Amino acid sequence: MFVKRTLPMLVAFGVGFAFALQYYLPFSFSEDALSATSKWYSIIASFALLLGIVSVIQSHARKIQTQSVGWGYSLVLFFAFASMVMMGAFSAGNAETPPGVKGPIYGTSYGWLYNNAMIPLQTTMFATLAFYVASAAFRAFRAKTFGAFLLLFFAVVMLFGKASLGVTLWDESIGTIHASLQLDRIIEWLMGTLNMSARRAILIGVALGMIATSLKIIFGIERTYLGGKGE
Amino acid sequence: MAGWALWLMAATLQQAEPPKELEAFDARNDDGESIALWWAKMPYEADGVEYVIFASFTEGGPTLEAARLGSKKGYASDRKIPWWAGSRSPNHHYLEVDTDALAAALVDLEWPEARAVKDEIAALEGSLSHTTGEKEKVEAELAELEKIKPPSAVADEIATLKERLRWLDAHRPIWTERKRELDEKLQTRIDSLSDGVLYYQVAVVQGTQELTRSGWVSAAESDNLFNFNRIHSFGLAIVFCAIIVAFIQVGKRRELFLRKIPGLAAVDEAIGRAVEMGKPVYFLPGRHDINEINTIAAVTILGEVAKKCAQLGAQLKVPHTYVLVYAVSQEITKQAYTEAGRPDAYRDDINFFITEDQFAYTAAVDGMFVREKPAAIIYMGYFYAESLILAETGAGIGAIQVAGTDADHQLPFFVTACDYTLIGEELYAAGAYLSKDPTLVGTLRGQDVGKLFVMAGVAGMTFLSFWFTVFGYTSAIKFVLDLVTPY
Repeated sequence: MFVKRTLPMLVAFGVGFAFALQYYLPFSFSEDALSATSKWYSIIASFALLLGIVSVIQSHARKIQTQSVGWGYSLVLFFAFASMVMMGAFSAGNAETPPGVKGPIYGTSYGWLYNNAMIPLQTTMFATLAFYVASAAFRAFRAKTFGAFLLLFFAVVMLFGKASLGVTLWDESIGTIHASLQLDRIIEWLMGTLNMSARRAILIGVALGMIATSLKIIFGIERTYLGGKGE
Repeated sequence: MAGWALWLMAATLQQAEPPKELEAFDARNDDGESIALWWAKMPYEADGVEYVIFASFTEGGPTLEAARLGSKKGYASDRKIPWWAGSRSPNHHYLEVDTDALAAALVDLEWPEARAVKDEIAALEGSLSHTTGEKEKVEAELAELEKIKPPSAVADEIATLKERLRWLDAHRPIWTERKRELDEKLQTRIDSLSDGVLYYQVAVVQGTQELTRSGWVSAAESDNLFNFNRIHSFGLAIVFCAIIVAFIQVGKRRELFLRKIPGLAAVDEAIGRAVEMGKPVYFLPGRHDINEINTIAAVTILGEVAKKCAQLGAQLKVPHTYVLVYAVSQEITKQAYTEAGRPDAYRDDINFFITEDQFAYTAAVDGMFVREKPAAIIYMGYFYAESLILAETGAGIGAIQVAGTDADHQLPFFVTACDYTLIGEELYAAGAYLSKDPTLVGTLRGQDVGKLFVMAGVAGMTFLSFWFTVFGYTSAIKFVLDLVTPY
């Protein structure tokens, strides 16, 4: 119980308290301690990656073994995983051909696989976001209530403001009435005043929530992260 | 008229007095590597007139130019400090000098060998840096040559490269040791010359002509224990901590009212629905690592969700993007099942790691959503661009979705695509709300009182700033604004 509960709580209290104070302590030992602990975190995280690899292999091996829905994708994963590991080892982890070494101008086989398989797949996934935005907007912008109407109205104004055709049409019509009705000024006011004030309200709440959560951890009131309260 | 002014300026410069009120002292609130110089504004300050700061190891010893400042620049009023941390007089100059760099330069004047030692250190640094790159290159070339069959065709080249590697491996430790010795020798000499104290003079210069020079002042830098520029934020943190601790005590003594948060009340409903439909519940703990407080809040909620899943017999699945979060979540989930009295229902595959890559993770989780059609999906923690891709897929398969995030940019996406959304601070309240633990509920009330305190502060500052502006009290506005400005 001491090793599993009390000791981690003491460590959390000591380290949490020390590093909360660190922000106010300018001397060199305090600065050095902060940079040293950041390095420790990176070292721990890199060792922990092995744990992740074991988890990936176990969960996909189980899917293949039980032939659960989509088990074929697990085979693809093993193939892709093995290919990247082999190519990485073969290329000594270099994506680019080292200077002075004879080799293809497009880099190592590992680099080729990364640039021609991984990056296009990532880009494709990111590109689907545009379609999801369109479908979400279609659902959200229905003027069923007054609030929803306001949302729709300002969304249309913003859409106009972000498209050059919209800016031209607006500024040549409504914008001619008065300089303050130019679309860029309206957008600036919407984003800088209305939107920013709401965001700041959220962010103040978030900051207080973060402080409260940190205090709960430092004082051992919140112990879920240790695997439960331990009563 | 212009001629008269020029004549007057020339006459003033001819009789230029040395800078008055000159002082040197340790620069406050820094990490102890600088000293500050302070002197009064003088009547001859004009374009083309400069202050040159000279430094020496001893009073009257050989000097070196430490800094140069236009005479109409560097006033104390330009300092970025709050009013309580030092003077911001517009009638004085203030300049900070890095003493370590200065002492390293001054040693050349007092120790004839210094230049040679520094040159050797620079050469050794160059060699070490160059050979690091060369070693990597030689190793890569060697690896390429060793692939060639038969090896005898390139035996000579391989032998040459191996010899070069051996030479590099033999010499690098020697150079490293030599550099360490020289660094130590240089530092010992600097310490013996300065004893931490350096001497300064301020000269007034126009073009190449030195008009006057002050007497000597001296100072030594020292570590500062506390950054007084930040004492206002320290005070606020103490007040806020006191409020939280006070309400924890109140929470222990009597039951505190908690307003209903529909998003959290819906968690029970979502899990119940999943049990009825015989479909899984997905919990996504965000895309930040365990060192972020929003992830800790998310895994705290996971504990409560896991407990409810265990009690109701729902199938829980938690895909992870960071290994440390995965490891912590495994412990939390196991303990939650035990606390719910269902340790038998716990499986090791509830939590599983996918990848750290953003879109690979998104694609994998989207695929699971589409194939398994979960009845409920809970998103808690920090999310990036994947928020809408995931939430729209979840909405498309008809899952009941509850999201909670402090990522303000992603909130509109979750509000649009999810059934319930916890906005900002509600994410941090969720653990306490779900557990109903009186101590944790006390912290929530403390949080609310803290927010009230901030709101009152914002309103008060706005009111004061408005009236000070109306009545033209500019220094009073600075006084008020410093109280809320981060330094």
